Amino acid sequence: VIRRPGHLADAEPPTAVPADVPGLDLERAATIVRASGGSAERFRHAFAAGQAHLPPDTATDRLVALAGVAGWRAGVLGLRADAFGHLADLPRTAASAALGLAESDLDAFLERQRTDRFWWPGRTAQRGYVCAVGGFAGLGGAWTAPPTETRPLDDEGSFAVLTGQRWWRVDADVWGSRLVPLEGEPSAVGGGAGRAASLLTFAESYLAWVHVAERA
Amino acid sequence: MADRWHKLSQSPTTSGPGDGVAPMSAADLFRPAPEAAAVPLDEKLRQTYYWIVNRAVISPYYDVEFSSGAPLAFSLGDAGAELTLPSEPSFSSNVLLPLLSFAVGGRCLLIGGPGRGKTTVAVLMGVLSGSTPEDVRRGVQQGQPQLTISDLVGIPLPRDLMNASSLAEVGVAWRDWLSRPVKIVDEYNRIPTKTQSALLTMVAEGYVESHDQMRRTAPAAGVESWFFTANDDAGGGTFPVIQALRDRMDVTVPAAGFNSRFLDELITRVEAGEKPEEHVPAELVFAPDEQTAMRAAIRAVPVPTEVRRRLEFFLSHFEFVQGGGRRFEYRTKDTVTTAGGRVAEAIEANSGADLMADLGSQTLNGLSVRALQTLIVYAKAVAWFRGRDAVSLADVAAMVPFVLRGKLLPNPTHPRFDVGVERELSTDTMSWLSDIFAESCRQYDALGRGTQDPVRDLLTQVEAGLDGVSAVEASRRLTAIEARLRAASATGKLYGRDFDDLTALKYLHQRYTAYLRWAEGRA
Repeated sequence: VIRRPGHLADAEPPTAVPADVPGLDLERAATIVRASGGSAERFRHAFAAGQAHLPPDTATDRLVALAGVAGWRAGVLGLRADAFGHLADLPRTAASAALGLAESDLDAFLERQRTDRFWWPGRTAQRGYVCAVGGFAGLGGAWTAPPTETRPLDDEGSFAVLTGQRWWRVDADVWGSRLVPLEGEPSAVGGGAGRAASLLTFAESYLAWVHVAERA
Repeated sequence: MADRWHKLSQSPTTSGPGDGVAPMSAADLFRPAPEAAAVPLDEKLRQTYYWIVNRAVISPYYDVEFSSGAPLAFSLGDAGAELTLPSEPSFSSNVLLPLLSFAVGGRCLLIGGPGRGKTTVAVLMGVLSGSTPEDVRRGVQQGQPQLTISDLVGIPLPRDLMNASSLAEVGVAWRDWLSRPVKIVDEYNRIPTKTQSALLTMVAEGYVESHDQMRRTAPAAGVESWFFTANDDAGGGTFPVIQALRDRMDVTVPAAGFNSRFLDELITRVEAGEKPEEHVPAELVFAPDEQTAMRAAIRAVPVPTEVRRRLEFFLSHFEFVQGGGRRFEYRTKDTVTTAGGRVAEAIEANSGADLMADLGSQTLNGLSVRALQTLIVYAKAVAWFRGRDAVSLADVAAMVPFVLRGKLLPNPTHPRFDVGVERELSTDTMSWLSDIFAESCRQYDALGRGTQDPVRDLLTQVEAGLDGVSAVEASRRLTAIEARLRAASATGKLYGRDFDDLTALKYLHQRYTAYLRWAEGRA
């Protein structure tokens, strides 16, 4: 089996399609989600899942908040803080459905996420692995040489990785990741001291894995 | 039914290195699309490029490659073929170069066999400038053996011919295409020599003359681009192209063949009876002020010192030929050519230098200032197109084959084209030009010119001005110059790359001796 980049929390394929909402252009939102590094299909799926738990006459503001949560769930890293602010505005059933969590896991998820952006209920079962980034360019990935060296960067959830002669910046959280080529070797490094999350590479693999050392 | 032509890149077509993830809000997901006018011009040009390659011209060839680090390469077959996978966005030359010519107001020669989309690409450029497809097609000048100057530029009014007492009173009915921002001349190697000369005045000087009347060909906005097509650029056609007109072609672009894997798309077009130029999205049309701003933005892209030095080194190889003359300054290929001699024979007579190391021995001529200016403009254009702040070596390398084709002529008797595994370079001029630029850069590194360049140091000293330089200091610098010349003399070998250095040292010597004479006279 060829491993491809992706998040282990995204095991369920996105299939649901939301109902039209007068006054909200959900296709435009899906396009922006894709342009911002997320998955348009997963955005539609997450929005539809949350929408199913809201009454038909739900106010537009609340549906916009749901779209923000769905966008974060679909992998848009920039929506993380905004989604956190809006989760309390949504009914628990809608919020947990949009995130793809059991309602009983929602409180634990929100609590753990405050200090660990990579946590979700299934992580322990995955032995701490969260997501794979990069991949071989010939198979639709980003890199033409395997990653060989990684280091944490100052921002939370960010790493630098060297593939061939090029350095890349990786930003990630539990739902999404982003890769950006860097002009040169990153200089200011050292913010990762004491962090549990790290970016792992493996010989002869074009993937780099975000891994969090679980507490015993 | 959805308009299959009207699809532009929704996301930015190039990404710069980012510092972090910009925060967003849920409301941002529903922001309306920005107005077309808000799209930066370089992004608009990239959108235009991607629209043409994805929708208009079936061209799955990515021969203008950019990579960070070494690209992934695959050896294919048993004749040294290699396919490379570039790691950065790379482009189709037969779309990119015409588009850059449109952006800089250049002159582009499209060559290739019939039916390869040369005229289609040129017509698309005309539509991008704001003309209707009908006007552009009507304005295409078809080269043919009977084409007269009047056919090309217009005729004097018969009424004036009858009544005028002097040529100044003869009005000329100028052809409409003359003042279009994009001018297209099809099969220019079928135009009679006399008409080619009239064309040369238009291309080179920007005006046309008939019956003592003159008309400027540049549009009001000032940016005009020319597109010529020909079936080959090796002397074929009904009439030989006059050298001066050939030299005015800024870039030469071979048209790509059709990739058989894209037959379905071709059949769809045949069935729909559609022409791509009739479906250019309005958002991609460049208004005259946008064309002016685009050209100004391209010219403003800086060329860093490191790139200048390598370009300077590359230029230095080609003018010198050891046996071209007696006096040192006259030992050039131009001396041989203007005297009716054969440069190849003069090169062959040079037994002192290693022909494989001397890049100048691979060419029959030197580089003209015009060619160098064009190379700089197109390198700036491709850097700007790629969203870069400054010209990089990769930008120059990418443009070298297209700018220098037909200008830097290969020496067919050089051993490189004659024997061994590189014989294919005798017909593949583009690869040869890329290769000599790469080899020049390798020599630059091997000679350590990036870190140690004594002649450059001496030139920098004099550029700083001679005000306040003492006679003793001037004498010291003169000694340094003579020491450099003595060192060059001691090597016993002379390469093209040394020629410009040695003439520059002589120039410096003249400057300092004149200054020293003046300083001593004043004392």
